[in-house]
Amino acid sequence: MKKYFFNFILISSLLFNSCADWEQKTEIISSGNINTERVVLVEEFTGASCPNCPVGSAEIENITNKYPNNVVVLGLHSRFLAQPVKAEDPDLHTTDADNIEKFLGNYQGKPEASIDRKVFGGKSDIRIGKPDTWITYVEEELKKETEARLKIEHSYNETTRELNIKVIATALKDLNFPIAIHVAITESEIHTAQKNNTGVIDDYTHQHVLRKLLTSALGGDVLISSLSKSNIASKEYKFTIPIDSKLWRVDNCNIVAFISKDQNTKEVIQASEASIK
Amino acid sequence: MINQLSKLVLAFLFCLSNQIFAQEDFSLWGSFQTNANLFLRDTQIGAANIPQYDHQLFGSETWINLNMSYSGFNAGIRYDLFNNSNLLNPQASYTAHGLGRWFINKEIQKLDVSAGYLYDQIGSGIIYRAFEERAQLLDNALLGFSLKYSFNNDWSLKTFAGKQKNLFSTYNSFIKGINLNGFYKKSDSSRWSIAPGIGFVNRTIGDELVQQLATISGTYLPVDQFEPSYNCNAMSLYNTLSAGPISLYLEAAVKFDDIYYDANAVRTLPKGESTLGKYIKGPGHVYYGSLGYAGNKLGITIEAKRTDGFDFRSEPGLALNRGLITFIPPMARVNTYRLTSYYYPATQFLNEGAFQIDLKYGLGENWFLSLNFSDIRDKDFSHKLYKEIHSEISYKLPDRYQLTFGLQRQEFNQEVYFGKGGEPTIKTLTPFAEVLYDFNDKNSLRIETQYMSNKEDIGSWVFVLAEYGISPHWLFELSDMYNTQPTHGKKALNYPTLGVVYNSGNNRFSLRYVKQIQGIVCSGGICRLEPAFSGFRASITSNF
Repeated sequence: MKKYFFNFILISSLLFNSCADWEQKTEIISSGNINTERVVLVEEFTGASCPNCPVGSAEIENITNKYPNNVVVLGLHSRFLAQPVKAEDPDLHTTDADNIEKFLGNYQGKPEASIDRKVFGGKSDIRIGKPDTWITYVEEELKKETEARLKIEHSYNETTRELNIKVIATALKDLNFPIAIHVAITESEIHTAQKNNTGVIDDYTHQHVLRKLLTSALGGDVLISSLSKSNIASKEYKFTIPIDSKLWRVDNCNIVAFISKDQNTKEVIQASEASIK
Repeated sequence: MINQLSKLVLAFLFCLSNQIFAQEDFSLWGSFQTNANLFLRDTQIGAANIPQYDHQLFGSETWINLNMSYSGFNAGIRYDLFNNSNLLNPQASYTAHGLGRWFINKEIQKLDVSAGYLYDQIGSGIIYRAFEERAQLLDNALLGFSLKYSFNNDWSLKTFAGKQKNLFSTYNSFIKGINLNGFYKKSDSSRWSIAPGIGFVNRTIGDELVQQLATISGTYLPVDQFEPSYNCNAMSLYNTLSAGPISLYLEAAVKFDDIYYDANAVRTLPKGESTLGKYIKGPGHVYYGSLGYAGNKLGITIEAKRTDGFDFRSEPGLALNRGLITFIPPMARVNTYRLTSYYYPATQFLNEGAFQIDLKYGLGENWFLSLNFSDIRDKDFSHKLYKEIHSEISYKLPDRYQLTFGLQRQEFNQEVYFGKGGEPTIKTLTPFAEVLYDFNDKNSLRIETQYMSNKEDIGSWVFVLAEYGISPHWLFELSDMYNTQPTHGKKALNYPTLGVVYNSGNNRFSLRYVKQIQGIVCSGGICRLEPAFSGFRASITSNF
């Protein structure tokens, strides 16, 4: 029996050492650049006290560098690991971010991102970890047919700090489902301390931070029950930019708008972004 | 497909049991377990902001097992039911029910044939272990078949194939393996014997997954790209040498080119910056050894392990405790007291080197000494991850009382185990004591207490528990945990528990009011976050 055992080991080792040759090579799929009118919404779940989150933000920057006109980002500082690292830092956590987090459902941790609020094949949740994979889902969405255009018109009064926003959706095909609209104000270039894997980055720049949601976090506002091809639907919003010693720098604030299917589906059809000034 | 198969099996089992119910060699047995939680929101301890505290309020998990054997056939089914459960994901709510397991087994002379959801392992489990761990809702059963041929009493060859269970579905890969186990002893009077074994496992992932990996690789810069592939092979060689009171177990496992995710690997971005986290294709190894001595009143176990790149899962993208094919033996003492078990080092699948010494000695008839030392580092044994010295002395006077006291020292790397970058290593010193006093045959009292001195993380704590037992039915429990020196500006709070257990034959009922701090729950070296709990916990277990 001993002889059989050692023969078995020998033969098996030979087989398994050469097994790399059994499988034909699978080619790497390179996407190149995708030219489309489609604009994808990426919601990044992050926080100043989240050591792994700078990795997520670096990936977001990588994606927006590749697709500057096709990706809109909302940086969501929801409760988990969002507390300021230093007491003097501004608190980027908002209840709007918490409410979006609750609306989008299950999560494992941070950093995670939702891409067009869609549950992708092989996934059970809207939120996705592993930042290096986010771009593949963004590109999957960019390859989809553009169903609608979204345009933001706005005016801003520097004296009263009043902002008037009009979001106009134009259907590029018949959209036979209820359409919800979502409008938010984001702020970039916010400097605070940020935890990372080796300690604390004293001067870290946060981008795309959600400051205020002007529509309901629970699925947005109803825009229209359906929209035929080439037809237009619009909705207007007013907001007064708050005065704050550390936040709400209008020069760094953007308006983000996106439209989605009904609340049960949650899926985003198109997004748009415009700077206030 | 799986549902249809399940119905078919149920129907088969039903018909079979109808026909054979009256037979003499027919036996039927089973078990029932249910856990129910009533969630009472308490924002002070962080028991909030998950659906169970916010609006669901109630959650439960139930498992019902039914097994039967008849004329060499063995079969069983298990029905699982989860309602607003936070076992799967502590941050979320999980509701589902269905057939959690079925299996059928028959021994045909020297051939043992099994089909269904099967639990098994090769060697110590490094290249393959299918097991269930309910505390973490882990069920890695293989849905497939297994054949085991016994050449004689000492030598057997086993093969298996199937897909790993993922709750009520399966992962998108196919696993197959072969395992030869043996035993050799020169003669009955020989003082030594060997029990060698060798195993192979192959995992083939599905088309969709390979396409995903090919796409991800395409987004990396060439320096970080990996070649996607369908197959991964793993091999393990092991042996137990027994010589009188000494036994030596050695295992070497290798995983040939596999794709796995390394959250700490550096990836270059297009503008030249770098970030962390990427898929890697490469080999992995685990070397594990255990030397044991079991003499008169003295027991010594020395273990050592080195792990490099061995994150072997059903799908390469899975994380935490999901889809694990591998089980790498943990190298730290499994503590049972509340505070000595608070910090436990989760097994590191990619980079770990560790050794552990465990010594037990009986001094006379009544005194027992126990000493454990574990040291876990990175694979080069240079960067410290975890260290524990645990000493314990017991004095036992049978039927009267038992005293236990000891001291534990831990060093726990928060950066690695909790992902808290830049935070210092936690250093705890925990004295503990326990007394069990039997008033008479029926009544007993057990009191345990621990104090954990800790300047980092959660600060210092004291824990006291009193348990009064009235045999054979009742057990009353009262305990409290209190933060004597809170850190990070947190308040000092009490975490009381009040409980009662009633045993009646094969049934056990328990009801507890619990306030519990957030912690890490570990089992077999696999750990995960357990959020703070506030509310009532009821459980019923029954065997029939």
